[in-house]
Amino acid sequence: MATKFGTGFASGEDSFKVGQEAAKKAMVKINDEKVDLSLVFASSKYNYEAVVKAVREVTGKAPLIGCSSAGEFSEENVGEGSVVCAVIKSDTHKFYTGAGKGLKGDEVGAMREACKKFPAVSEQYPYLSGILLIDGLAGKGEEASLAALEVLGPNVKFSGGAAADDLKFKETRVFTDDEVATDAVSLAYVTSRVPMAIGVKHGHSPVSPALTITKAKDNVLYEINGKPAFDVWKDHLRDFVKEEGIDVDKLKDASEIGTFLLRYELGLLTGEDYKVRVPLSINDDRSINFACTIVEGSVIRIMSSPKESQIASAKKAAEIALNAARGRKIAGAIVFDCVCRGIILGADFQKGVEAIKGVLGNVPLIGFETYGEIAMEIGQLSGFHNTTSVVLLIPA
Amino acid sequence: MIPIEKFYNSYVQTLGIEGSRKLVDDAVVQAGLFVKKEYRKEEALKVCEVLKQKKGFIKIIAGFMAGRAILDKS
Repeated sequence: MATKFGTGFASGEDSFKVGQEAAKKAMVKINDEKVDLSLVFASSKYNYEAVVKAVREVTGKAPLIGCSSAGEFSEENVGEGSVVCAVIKSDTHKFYTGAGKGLKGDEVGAMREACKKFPAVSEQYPYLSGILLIDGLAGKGEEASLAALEVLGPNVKFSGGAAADDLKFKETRVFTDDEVATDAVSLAYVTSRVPMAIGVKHGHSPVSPALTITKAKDNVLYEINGKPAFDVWKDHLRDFVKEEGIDVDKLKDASEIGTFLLRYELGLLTGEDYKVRVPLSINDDRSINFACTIVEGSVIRIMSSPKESQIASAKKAAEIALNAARGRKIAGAIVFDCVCRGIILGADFQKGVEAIKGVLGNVPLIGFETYGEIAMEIGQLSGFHNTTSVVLLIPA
Repeated sequence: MIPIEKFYNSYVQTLGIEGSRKLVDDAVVQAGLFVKKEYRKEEALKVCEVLKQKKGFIKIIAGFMAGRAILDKS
């Protein structure tokens, strides 16, 4: 039997009924067999507890992880204001779930709590991996992925995403079995006979020269080369964005500025490629708030990504993952795709999902739009990404 | 001996090339050492101790580096 992977997509007004419908659709696709892991991503429109309760009832209380999202998709549907569910049944993969709270104050403590009941390594299931979901507004993406590495150990690869809330930026939640929590992590620990495969790619390139961060604290970038950060952003983009009809000196309200920042992000040169960090909003002193920690002394570039590059990078992420799967048949895919990409692509976001499907073929797929993506291969020390596509493949 | 490149490479994915060099070089100086190609285990651990005084992921990565320095048999 190996591994079966089924997905279901639903929307409506009644949170319980929508969760139930999504889960039932997924169950049909695995012939209603006993579920080993369910995943659910839900729009902030819904009562998360009701959605989770419904999915758990339909799956017979199967282990569950999930989170709130900013857009949901499967191989059949792409949308917002929805619930998407996947169910997995497997002979070759064993799944264990755990939740940890207090992410903001103590990321290592939260991860230890999530991992406390996970088993030791099994000879029969030697490959170790994790699917990690975190509170997307805790501002602890990089720290959380490192904490997972510290607690799980160096032989575990993992991927995942930061929960979102439809761009409201009020509260995000993660789900673990019956539990729905904020300021928390939800982790599925996977032991398997065949390794899972991860692909990561963003579609940004630099449009500014190298710039030095001269003042920053936590997730706030105050000054670049001694000047207020947003002034520097505008100075370097003023002429570049004129052709698109954007006048940077006329950006007034938070929504306009936020949308502008999501299209022109920060890049850190890491070798041959850049790590992207997403700016979210500005403050009265023209400092810029980011989705994760910004370090004083870093040298950065302002980045841009045209739509075509965003679609191409989604395709590339799937190709990288498929290559890493080394010819194994794929049961299903889980995609963690940044909401920033959704904003850049607008109605063309579906083209990105289609590009992934084009690479993977007739493979069930579940995904959500995140406030950050997580991907950490064995041996790496950095796992948090922004405006990036992360594709996780589960072998059949 | 532990090459300084190992320190740089540990932070390059989170801080970028230039940022990781600045962080590590500053930590080396704060540890009372000179920036050089490689360090004895005791020296490397001093650098890790400086980095561990920082917050968040810089501190966490320093912890990993200290563990590797202790385990390094060279």
